[in-house]
Amino acid sequence: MNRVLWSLVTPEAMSVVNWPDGSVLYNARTTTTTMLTRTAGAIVARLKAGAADTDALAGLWPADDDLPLLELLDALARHGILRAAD
Amino acid sequence: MASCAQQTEALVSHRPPLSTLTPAELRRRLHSQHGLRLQLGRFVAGIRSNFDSVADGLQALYADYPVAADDDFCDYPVEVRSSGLRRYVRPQAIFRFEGTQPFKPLPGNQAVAMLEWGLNWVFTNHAQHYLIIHAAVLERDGLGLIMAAPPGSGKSTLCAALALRGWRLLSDELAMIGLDDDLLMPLPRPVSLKNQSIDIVRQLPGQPVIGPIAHDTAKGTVAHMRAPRASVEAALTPVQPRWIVFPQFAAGHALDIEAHGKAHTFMQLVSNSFNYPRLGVTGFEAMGRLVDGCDGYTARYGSLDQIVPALESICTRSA
Repeated sequence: MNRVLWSLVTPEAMSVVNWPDGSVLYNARTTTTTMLTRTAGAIVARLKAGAADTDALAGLWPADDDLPLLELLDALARHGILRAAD
Repeated sequence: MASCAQQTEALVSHRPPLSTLTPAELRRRLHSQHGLRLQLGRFVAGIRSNFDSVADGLQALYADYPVAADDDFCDYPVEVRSSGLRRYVRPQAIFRFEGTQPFKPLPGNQAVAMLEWGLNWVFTNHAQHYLIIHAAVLERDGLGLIMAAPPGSGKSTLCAALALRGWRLLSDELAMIGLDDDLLMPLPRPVSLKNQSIDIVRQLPGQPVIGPIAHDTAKGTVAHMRAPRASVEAALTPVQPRWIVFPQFAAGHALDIEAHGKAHTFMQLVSNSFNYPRLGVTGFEAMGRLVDGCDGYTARYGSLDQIVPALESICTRSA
């Protein structure tokens, strides 16, 4: 696993609530509300507390999830939710 | 020291119901500068109109509502009137709020419906200390049922049926959730009925009172059912929300109740909310607390005979 550091694009503008069937993210900067998978919500909630590397985020990953972690992180980055700091 | 809500309750308890006004006095107030000061939930609307049909409609639909004095504070001054020559030739109903005219005029025979639609517009656009969802709201055993749905889902017909069975009506149109206390603020007003639902509700037990009928409106034939007196009298008592149902009526459909997770319920409520985007993160947090405290369902049904007992079961079982 590489050591890319991930952070939210606008952590101060992002709020997330997590439930068993998924998470809901609110971005005050864009005034958008987005439904996320529970794992994606957990990652956003973790990054609200500060940047984290891929290894740390892997700890949030449920064993039964088929989607590779990096694919999810890339998808969240493409949607402007988080970014890789290197 | 009495709270603001207690002070309002004490004030309202001394206000006489509209039914105590003579027809002449009602018309005088509607024509006056202050308008008829009508207590609607926690709000006072100052209603002015030169339409006799509005006076008749208010007598039919708002008989139990408290009337405030001319010099009492008015939250929302509204007006439905015709003007100029159009008072005499094919009169038009013009709705005004604080000097603005938010809608195009309607034919004069739709003046009562226009007052109702105008009041809905006023509340949804100006009561911004509430999270407002397009929903019927009722109370049973002290807990609130929110039925959120777009027009045409059968929401109002179902709402009328439940109200006639003794559920307390909080609103046929607007779920108003206090941003400070997360409680449902009642705003019981007449239930809006369209087309076939008018006759369906007219035939229900519970002695529904149906007001004037307006034909050929943008929504078809429209009438309103008077809110039960007990609901009007309890209009200052807020309710803890407990159930959220998204009703979907389709003729001939078998009953199908589907439980929802909270994230899905949240997203569906957002799409039915009037002012969620305007409230920003405050609205997001209020919506989250609302969903956290409620069970969510979609209810597909083909008749009142199916859905009413199903809701009565849900709203008992999981209380």
